Amino acid sequence: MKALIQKDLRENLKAGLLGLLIYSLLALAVCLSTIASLTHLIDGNNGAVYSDVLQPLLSNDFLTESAFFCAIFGAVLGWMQSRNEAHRDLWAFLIHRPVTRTEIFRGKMTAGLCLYAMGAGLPMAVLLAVVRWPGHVAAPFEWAMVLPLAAVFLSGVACYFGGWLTGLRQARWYASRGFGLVLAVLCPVCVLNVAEFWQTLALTAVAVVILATAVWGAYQSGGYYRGQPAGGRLALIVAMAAGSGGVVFAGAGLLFAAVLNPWSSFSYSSSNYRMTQDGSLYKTTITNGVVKEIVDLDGHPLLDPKTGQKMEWQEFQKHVAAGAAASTELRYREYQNNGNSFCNQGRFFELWSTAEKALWYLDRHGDLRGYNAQTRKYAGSLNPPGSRGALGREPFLQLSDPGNYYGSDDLKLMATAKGVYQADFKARALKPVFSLTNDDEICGFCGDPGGPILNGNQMKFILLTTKSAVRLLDSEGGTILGVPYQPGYVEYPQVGVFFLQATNGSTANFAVWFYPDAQMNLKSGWKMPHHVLWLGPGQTVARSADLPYLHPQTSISWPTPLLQALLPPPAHLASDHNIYSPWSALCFALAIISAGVAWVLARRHNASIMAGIGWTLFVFLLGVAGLLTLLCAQEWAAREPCPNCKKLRAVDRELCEHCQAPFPPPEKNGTEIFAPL
Amino acid sequence: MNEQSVIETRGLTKYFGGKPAVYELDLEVPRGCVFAFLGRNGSGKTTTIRMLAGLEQPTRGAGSILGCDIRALSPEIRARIGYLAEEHQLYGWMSVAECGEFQAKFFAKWNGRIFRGIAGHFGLKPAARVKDLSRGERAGLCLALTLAPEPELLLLDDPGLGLDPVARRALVESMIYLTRKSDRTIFFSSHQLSDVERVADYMAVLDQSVLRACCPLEKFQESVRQVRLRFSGAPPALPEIPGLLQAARTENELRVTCARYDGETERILRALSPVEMETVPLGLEDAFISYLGERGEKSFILPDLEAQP
Repeated sequence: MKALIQKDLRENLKAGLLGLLIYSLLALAVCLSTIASLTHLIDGNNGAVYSDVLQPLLSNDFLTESAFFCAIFGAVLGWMQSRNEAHRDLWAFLIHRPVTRTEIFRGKMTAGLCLYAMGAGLPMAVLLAVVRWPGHVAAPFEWAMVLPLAAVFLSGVACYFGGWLTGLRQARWYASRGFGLVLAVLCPVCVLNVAEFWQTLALTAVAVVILATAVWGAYQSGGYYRGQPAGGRLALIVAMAAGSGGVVFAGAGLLFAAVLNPWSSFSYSSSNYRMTQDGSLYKTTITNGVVKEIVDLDGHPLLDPKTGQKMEWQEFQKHVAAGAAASTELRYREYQNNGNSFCNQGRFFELWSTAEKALWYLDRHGDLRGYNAQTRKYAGSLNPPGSRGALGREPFLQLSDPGNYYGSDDLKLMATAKGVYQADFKARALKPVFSLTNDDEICGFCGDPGGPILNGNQMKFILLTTKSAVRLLDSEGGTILGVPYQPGYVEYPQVGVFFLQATNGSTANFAVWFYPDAQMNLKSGWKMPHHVLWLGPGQTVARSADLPYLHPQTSISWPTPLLQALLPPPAHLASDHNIYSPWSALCFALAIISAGVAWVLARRHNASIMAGIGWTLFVFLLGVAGLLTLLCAQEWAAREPCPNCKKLRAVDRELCEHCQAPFPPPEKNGTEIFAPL
Repeated sequence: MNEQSVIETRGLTKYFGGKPAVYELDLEVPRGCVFAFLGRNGSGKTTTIRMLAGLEQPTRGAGSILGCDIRALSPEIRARIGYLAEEHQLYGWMSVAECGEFQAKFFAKWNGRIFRGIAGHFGLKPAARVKDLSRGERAGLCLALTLAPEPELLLLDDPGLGLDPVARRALVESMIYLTRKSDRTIFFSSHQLSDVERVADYMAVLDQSVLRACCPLEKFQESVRQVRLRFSGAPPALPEIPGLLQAARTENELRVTCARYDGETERILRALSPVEMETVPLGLEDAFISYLGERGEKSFILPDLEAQP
């Protein structure tokens, strides 16, 4: 096997070196971008700092480029390893030697993976060494940051086997040779989109096992389905099924997009509640981006007092109450990671400030860490005293969207579980603004004032939600408003406060709006209403109201359910719970017809009863994609009339399946010369 | 299975699409012989050899080689079989010496002297790249790689293809050298009938995927005969003759070529009352061409030719 490994290493070395060169250039480019960003910062051009490249290991652009590179490089390498021996005589030279085909496969695989590791892994390792070495990158580092690149690297292994299978497979339909690549390409696509590393690792591992087994099987049979061991056939079928599914959906999508274009008649309508400055509630309806109506809660149109006509949208906007909203999602970074891709830089840190030629990051532990842009080394942290954080200080809480924190590059308002602080990055100091003295905890925070304009200045407010209260603070931390958080912050995770003007007999100065959690509301059958409080002088509740949830209206568009009908029946049931809908009927009809065709094909081409039942079930479960898989994977034996019963019989059987007659010997022409040897 | 046979097939059949490339082939190759496998282009020789080497799966039927099922040749059996493909494909980037080194690592019985000897005979320089070799040189290298492991059975698919007469002669000598031990067997296909005549003990002929002849070489030559019949006038109409291959008619002469020539054939011909009847000796090449050439009666009388459309 050593000789085979050496042979393949040498044979494909040029491809490996080319990959090494290309990927090294990509890695170099991201390092240069990092340096360029830091240079801009040193030069005082803070606006040109591109936060995506500050930690190259987590650069979204670089990860995307890496995913493309690893997929293409892996696939090309695998394809070349099979295409080099595509000529049947060279294939024979390779195969006809005293080693098993499994050993040949293992030898080639070892060489291929070594070359892949050289081309893709080596630049990654060098990049990691550069990043890890202090003084190169002015950003936090932890080993978990290596996982995205590791996942990208591993996804290329799946593409390597996908490319190898494509080059090796002897397919009846030439286009179907590339079907194995669809499963492989899913891996790099998923790397950048799934939430957790283990998810992409699991998918990649499954894809690698399936594709490697399919390649191994193809080696046993010279690339044909027939003659493979059962494991190889099964793996090939699964790989082909993924490819068939991709082709069916891509084909249907292309057909819709390029030919039928059904989305031209798509319409979307949504209604929302709006509160005006006098505390009145109105319902606005917007259809396809155009305001259709503004009505009160009784359904009467809002009239413009100046014209007596229906009020225009622009005019209405002038009457809408200013306000602020805060979510109770202020949590430690680990909590916020739910749903984000593990490749997302925000999982590990956010760039908080670039004041004074330093880079301040809020990391996932709630630590505010500073790095010197000049030396590219850690410069210190800025956290209130405490004992909860990784640094032995009080960690800052974070919003899922850091843009909600307000402040300048030099000054930023920040919150821990117990207090609100103003971070002064120039002075490298924290100024306490507000602190809780009881057992309560801060869970929501909005610094965006949006308050009314008083004496020519827009009022600065801080909307703060704790587990038991909603508070409106002034910019110095003084309490302007405080009401209990009822209903509970779990069921109603978003709160809005509106600034009102007491007019028309209303004495309310503020309105507090509690928004229900969408997921919980869905589970309750949309029975959780919006809860609104109007607060008068002395923070007394002037009145309250529960407003029913308003559903968006979508015109039924046929492409989506039709695409759903093309899904395998189990997946269709998971996506469309109404089993009695016409689209469900279509889905099952397609599956049954496909299964029927599979059964007929299997029987016609003389598959055994068990194989026929297996294929029929498989096609029924996968629908149209399953039928395409059957047509791509199976190699049908030719059929010719049986001289005995005259029916068509498969030529790969010793006896006629209809009359059990053997094949006749070749017809004699009288010139035969046979003699004992 | 016959223990004296190194190759045995029963109903071996291969279809490509709906067309049979080899049909119901029953063949036995005795141990220690040189067996020529003949036929026109596309008759199924290469497919048969590839099936025997386990490189192509039969559509149906069975076969064994050195006692092992051809569908599952073990590495041990492969070590005992030398296979030479017809197009002499090798890794172009390797040098001659590297080809030898690469191959030597797989075969326990690798004989470097044989490799160097054959390579030297073909004038191959060890440092020469395969991609720079001529077709004949590549054939020589392939032959060296095939013979150096000293296989018990050689499957050679048109080994003389691309070789000049001198090199072909060297190949023939190699084959004779190899069969000096009684247990060595060579199964080869070729279009060079002079080579076949020189080395083969037995021959088989495939005609349009079907085995038509399988016999010792001498038997084939005996069976395919040409007889010249001279008549005083125009030759009479030819009656039905079993095994008739060709009949050529001139103004007063009839040349009849038959397979399976025997006493019955002679009786039918004498019944035509020729003035003179003479057997024309046929070499293997002539016999083979007659055997696989166009069948039926042809006229070489000028008016007849002119009358043809």
